[in-house]
Amino acid sequence: MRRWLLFFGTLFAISPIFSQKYFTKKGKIVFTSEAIFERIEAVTNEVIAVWDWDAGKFEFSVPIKSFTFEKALMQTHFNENYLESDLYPKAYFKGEIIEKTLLDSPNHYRIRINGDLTIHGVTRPITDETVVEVLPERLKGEASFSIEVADYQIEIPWIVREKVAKVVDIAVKIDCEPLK
Amino acid sequence: MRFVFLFLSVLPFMGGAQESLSLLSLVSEEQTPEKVDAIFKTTRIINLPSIEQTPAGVLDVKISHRFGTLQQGAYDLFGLDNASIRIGAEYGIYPNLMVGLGRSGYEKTYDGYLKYKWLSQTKGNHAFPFSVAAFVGTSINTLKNDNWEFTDRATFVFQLILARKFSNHLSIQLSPTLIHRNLVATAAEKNTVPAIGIGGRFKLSNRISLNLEYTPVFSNFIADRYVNSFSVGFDIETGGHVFQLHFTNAIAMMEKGYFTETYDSWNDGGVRFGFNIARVFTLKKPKLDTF
Repeated sequence: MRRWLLFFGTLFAISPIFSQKYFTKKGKIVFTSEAIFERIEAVTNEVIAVWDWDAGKFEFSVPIKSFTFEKALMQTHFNENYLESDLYPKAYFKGEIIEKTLLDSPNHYRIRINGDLTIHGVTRPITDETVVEVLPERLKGEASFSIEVADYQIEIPWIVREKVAKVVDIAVKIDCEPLK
Repeated sequence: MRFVFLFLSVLPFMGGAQESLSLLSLVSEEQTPEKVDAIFKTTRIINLPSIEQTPAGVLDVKISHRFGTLQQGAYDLFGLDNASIRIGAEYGIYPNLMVGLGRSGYEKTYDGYLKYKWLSQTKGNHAFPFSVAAFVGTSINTLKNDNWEFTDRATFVFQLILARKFSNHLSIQLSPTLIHRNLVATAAEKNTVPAIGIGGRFKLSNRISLNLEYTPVFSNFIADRYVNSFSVGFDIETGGHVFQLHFTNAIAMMEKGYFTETYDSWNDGGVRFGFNIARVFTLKKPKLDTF
């Protein structure tokens, strides 16, 4: 009995060694479509992000319907006609850190990331580089990249080709707290 | 006792195993019911007010035409030489409340209405099966007639709108309706007429839908020469416009007209081509909190 206790006790003691994780449910994404006749922007503050900093892995998810637009009709069309959010309610990013450099400013790291972005049910690889600040009680970062709408099988009808850009800029901002 | 202890000791491992599946699964998501939107493409199915609201701060200008009947033949280009027009506008005061005004050539009628949506169909946890709105309107004909007092020219409409999006493609709406005419032509006609509006749409593609609409009136409330309106058409959406092209036997575009005063019958070619064009203008833009 005592031997068992010792055995499981030890296992219990070493289990919290699992690496530090961070999360947020209020991450922000702004996307911008800059076409000849129209600039369209949409914002969401409902991005969920979970980071396993030591393992160098992270995941994001965002409900497509949470994006708000200046023009209500654009939001309807975005969900109904372009992103088909009833069929594909969320976008995901599942990534890993492929290179991590500590910068001069304390707790700031330059990271190179690699991952799979899933939008409209289509998954494509994305590589990006950014700076994150990592503290015991915080993980903060911003990133931006561009995607080609056609890569995700989102059709832009001929009639709005001068109002909707073929390449859309995406900016992400997160401020995570430790996950217990 | 020993088993309990054993079980407790294994717990941290179980946590560890789960971790390898997905980081996102470590965070619980709030399960709030999600509103089902875009039940129809615009605020009219064809003639019938749909469950859709003009969003707050948005002005929707509607230009509608109903041409002459097809039976008028080639001489009148199957009715295209004769057009009855309604010019209207709708505005979203609050997300749930909209107001509309219109002027029709038919009996030189002005119409005005309010529509309030108070329940939304939802999906997910505690889903609610359909959306509910109320439509209240009045119309005033301004034909020259010295025998009529102002009140004689007024009619009122009360409508309960029940709509459900059965799938991405299919939406169906029922609109129990009461129409009150302050003045009717003969004693045999009732002032207050119960009716029901039935409408539906089937999406053929993301931007095109097939719409049907039928507005039966309870028998013996209106004169025998009147029939129920039946309409079939397409919604075609292009950016800020919705084009609705249809065939209908109704010429009037306000409720008291197409419900209780439709006199052409589909059976003998009394069908008209018509269209509604809707163009939205965003007058009040919400401030987006971008970077």
